[in-house]
Amino acid sequence: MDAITAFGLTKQYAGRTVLQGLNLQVQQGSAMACAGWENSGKTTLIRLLSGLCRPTAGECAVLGMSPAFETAKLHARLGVVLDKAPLYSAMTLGENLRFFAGIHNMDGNDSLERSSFLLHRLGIWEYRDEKAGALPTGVARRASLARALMHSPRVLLMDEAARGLDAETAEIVQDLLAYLVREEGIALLLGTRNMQYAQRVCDSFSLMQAGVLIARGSLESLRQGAGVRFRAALRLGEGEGTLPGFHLEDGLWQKEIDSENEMPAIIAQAVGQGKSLYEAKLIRPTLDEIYRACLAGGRRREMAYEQGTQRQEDKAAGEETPADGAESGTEQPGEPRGEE
Amino acid sequence: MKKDLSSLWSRKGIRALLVLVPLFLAVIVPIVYFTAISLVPIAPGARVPEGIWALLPEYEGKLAYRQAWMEAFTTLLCPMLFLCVPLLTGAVSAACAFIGEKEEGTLETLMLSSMNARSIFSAKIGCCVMLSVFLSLMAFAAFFLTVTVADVLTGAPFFLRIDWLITLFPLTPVMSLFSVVFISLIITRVHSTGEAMQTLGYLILPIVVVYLVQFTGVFRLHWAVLLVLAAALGAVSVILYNISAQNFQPEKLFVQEAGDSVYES
Repeated sequence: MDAITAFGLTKQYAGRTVLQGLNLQVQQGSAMACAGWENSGKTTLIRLLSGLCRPTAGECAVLGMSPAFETAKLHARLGVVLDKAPLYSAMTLGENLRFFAGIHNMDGNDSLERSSFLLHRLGIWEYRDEKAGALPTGVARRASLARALMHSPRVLLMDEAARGLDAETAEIVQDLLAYLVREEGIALLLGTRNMQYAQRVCDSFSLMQAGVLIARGSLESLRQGAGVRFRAALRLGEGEGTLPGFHLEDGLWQKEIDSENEMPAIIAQAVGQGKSLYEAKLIRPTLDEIYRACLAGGRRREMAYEQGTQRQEDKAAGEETPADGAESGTEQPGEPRGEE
Repeated sequence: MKKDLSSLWSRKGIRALLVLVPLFLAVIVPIVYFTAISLVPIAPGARVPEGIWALLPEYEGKLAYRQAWMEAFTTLLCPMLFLCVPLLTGAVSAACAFIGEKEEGTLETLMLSSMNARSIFSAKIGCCVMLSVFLSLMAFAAFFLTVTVADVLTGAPFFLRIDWLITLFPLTPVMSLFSVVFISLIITRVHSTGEAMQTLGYLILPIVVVYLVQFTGVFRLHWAVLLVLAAALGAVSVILYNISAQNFQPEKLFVQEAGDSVYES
């Protein structure tokens, strides 16, 4: 069963469309990232799914419940970590967790056990008696996550999980999220502009830009849809000359290839040519590179569409149109690519 | 409710406001007045103005000069001072519980819990009204002691009569409820606790005007009038409560912010 579904989800604020026709499914026991740069609609999506606002059009459901009309019932099984959702500053971290556990009708023993588990896993156990208002940023972010997980939700929505975290603490959070998805079977939806973090935490991705879903799928399907290729990278000895088809970049001879299956032949070729090969690696495109390629592809299609439209208008007016290599103007920009 | 009470009480500035202002209105001002009226020398031939006797006809000719001014103060002005206490304590506690929490961002966190918005709203209203009524009763207890001592020392009649009882029991809780609900109504329109507390003027001014107009002789606030006022204010409070509860929804509370920071990253 899909833990999260959205069909044609649209949200407008004061006439401005911030989310347009979004379709989404997240299964139980999986982690999906809604990744995109600023103003892509990630936060709005999280707020719609958590019932903090209502859609202008379309519908969504979390665990089969409507966030807009069954909010309290849904929140008993949903955990939400917003970018800014602080704890009560006058209460200690432990008191905050007990307070929220009480709201979710957890009994004292369960509350203690769960808070102990979460605080230890998140590496913030020693801060349990500190006032929440005095916690360092990284600890406060993890504390918010602990608050959202106290009642063992079936779905977790996180907005900018890695903001304010250093590499080490980001990894701690990542480990806990992986544990929750794998062992507790939660569905995780992560809204983030940190493509690197999204790639580490999640196994499927929805790429968004200006409120529109531009691509959806696994990393590999997105890569294929965006036309981004692998790169073979070789480090040769100094003065070894060049390799045909390769270019030197960051001290490595690099060449774009279509498949990892080409690597053995490339290595064999380099060795066969008598090169001193010190290092050979396959560079897989990152999510950030795929996202940029999707954006660039979208812009190229938009420009082609505009030029194609202009050509048709000129033709209708009887003017000569210059020959060019632009694509025809029949394609629509913004169609999601790379879907599984 | 427990969380809101401890949160209110833990803030030094708010705690000072909730304690010192009722103390000032209910104790300091009466003490200053009684001291002044007891020590100021009476000019030979001084008479209590006829306007005061018109407002206190039952005491005309029965009270000495100082006693008459004591009675005028405790009967005509002190209720006004006292009623500022539930208004002020209700408004301050509501400003912190509603707008202060929205300002800090914790209201949104609370809305993500499994309590529905109406329950959260009712709990906050209940907490603020209870605190305001409690502080008002404490202020009245202090006022009672102060004025009783003053009455005994000056020989003035005991101040506690039916109009005071009506001021205390139906009117004080209703005033608390009204001020709390009034502040909760403006939660979507103000952005800070300070801004919310500036609306106190709208609450206190009518009380001051009503009591001061008594001195024009147009009317005297009879206990029956106070009872009707309490009932009317109670009805208005219930209506405003329901309106405010309907507006206490995340969509209306948090999307009013200007700019993209609320809903975009």
